[in-house]
Amino acid sequence: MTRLVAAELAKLRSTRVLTVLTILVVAMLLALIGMQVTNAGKVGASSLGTADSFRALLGVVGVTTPIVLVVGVLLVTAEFRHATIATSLLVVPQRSRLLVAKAVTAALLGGAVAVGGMVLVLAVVVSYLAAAGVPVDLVSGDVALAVGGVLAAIPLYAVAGVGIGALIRHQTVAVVVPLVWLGVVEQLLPSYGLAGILRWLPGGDERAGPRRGGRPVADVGRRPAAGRLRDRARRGRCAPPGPGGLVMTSSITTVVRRWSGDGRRAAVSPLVALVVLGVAAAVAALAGATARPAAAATSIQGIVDRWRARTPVHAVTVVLSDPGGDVRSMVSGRAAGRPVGVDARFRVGSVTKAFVAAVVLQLIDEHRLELDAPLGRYVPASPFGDVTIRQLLSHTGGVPDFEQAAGYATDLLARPSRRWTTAQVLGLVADRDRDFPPGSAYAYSNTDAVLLGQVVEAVTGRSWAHAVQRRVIDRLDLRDTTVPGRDAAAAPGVVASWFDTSGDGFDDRVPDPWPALETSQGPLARSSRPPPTWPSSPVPCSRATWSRGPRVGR
Amino acid sequence: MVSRAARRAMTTLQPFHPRHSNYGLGVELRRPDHRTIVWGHGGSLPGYRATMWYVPSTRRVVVVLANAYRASTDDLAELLLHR
Repeated sequence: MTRLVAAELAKLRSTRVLTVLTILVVAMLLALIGMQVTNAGKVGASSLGTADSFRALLGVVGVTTPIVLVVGVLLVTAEFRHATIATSLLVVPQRSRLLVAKAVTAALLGGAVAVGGMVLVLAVVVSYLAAAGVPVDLVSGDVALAVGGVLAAIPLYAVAGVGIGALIRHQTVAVVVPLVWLGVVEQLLPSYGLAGILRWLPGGDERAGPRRGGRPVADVGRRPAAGRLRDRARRGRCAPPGPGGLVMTSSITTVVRRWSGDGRRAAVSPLVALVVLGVAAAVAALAGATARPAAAATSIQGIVDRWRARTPVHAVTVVLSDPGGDVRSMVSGRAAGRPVGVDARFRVGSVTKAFVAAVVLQLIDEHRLELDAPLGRYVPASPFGDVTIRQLLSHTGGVPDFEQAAGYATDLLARPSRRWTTAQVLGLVADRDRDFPPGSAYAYSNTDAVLLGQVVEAVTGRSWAHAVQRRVIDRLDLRDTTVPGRDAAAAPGVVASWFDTSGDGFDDRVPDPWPALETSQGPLARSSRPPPTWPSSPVPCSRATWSRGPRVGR
Repeated sequence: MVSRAARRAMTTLQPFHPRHSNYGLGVELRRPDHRTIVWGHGGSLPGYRATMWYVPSTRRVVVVLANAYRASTDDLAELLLHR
């Protein structure tokens, strides 16, 4: 068997497959890293330095899976195409042995690509990040697991290629079928509502992997898919992957050129070159990583400025508190032509939900509410009376999200001055089917917050905003946090803001401030002089707020 | 603010939550860097995005507020998590 595998490797060495493979792999990896780095911090791509970004950068090795799959296919079909199969089988009469040898060869090749590719990617990524002053943390269980999975998948794809080649002997067909399956069929499945089965399909594991974040993303005016695609296309132009990448590309071409003079060595050279270069680059990268980044790069102001430079944002404000009560805050950026000061107020959207939750828990502490009581006990007329308070707080009640209701987002954009009442918001979903029976699953729903606002109002006899003001903001003395009421004038000093209202991929200045939200009482906050202790620094507000309970009807 | 028991309830995972997207009672419980647990909430409105986290292991607070809907305040908060 060893000899059979050696023979298969010899077949590979004597053709141009390895050279082409190596060049393809290196070129694709460098191009993808460049793309990832360029997009980092933009919409849909994590900022450099975050765990998700690091995982995405290392995960580009996965792009080699279709390449090694094709090489696996070629291992078998080339025998048929060049009519050497008869000779091969005369030498090795047992077909299974020949096929196993090819599978082992494919796995070895896949392993080499995985390891070589990973070394290359690590070297380029780590040296780039070190040069950019981004702290790199290589020791993360989740990242290691995800990357390990990608590495393990590569040899498997190569072996699968051998299997496909054995089943479909026609070379062109055997190459095209799996590529079409991976590149077209599986990509289209979600459009037919079959996204759920993706994870069970050969190419689905990457896409079905753990989702990033978990921030309930506000859906208000979510841009149409076409807009997002345009965005991506515009961002698609790859910037050079940085000096490390360029040097590496040129040295690889040099080495390949030099070695290809000699027939026999030419075949081995690309893989060897890849490994040698990778190791060299890794050493250089480690040296770079250990060199301490400049103090400016790791200072808080440095981190904030660097993040802002790569993110479509005009101004950002940050508050950090230490256990000792030391509070640091800073602002970076401009709005409406002026530098933003520490007294600028930002709307905080669904952060408000945490404030409302605190009020609800207080009422439970006071035995005025019961955690597992149904909503109907407090709001008898509610169409969602069977859902419990606990389920509302944890989004397990199956109440449909009004932000997903047809027409809501478009109406919000088309008529920004419309005032939404609680009754109108609930009316959007009152007749809709539940997402699932209460208590049987989880789905983030803004409607849950609106219903909790109703509960607070039913129990306290005052508006939810009043309860948040008196029970949270006043009690913690959050002087810079406000819950706008009916009166738009209650939101002074709100910083100008930007949103892609036209869906063209470019942010537009939002009416200042967005009237609909103004009236619907999104609480606001500013970051200067933040209160010293935990719940205090937060800042309430927003969408949720407004979702939740805006002016309670009437 | 709330009783100890209530806080424990708020910060205890409720059932049926997908990986990396956990929720207690009105509060998100996450590991933004796949390691450090934080309690808090994110938020967004057309024109704004916000992140508010409390890090129980270090007893620190991280708040990031931005005036553009497409800005990932979670990313900046993660970069500042241990600063």
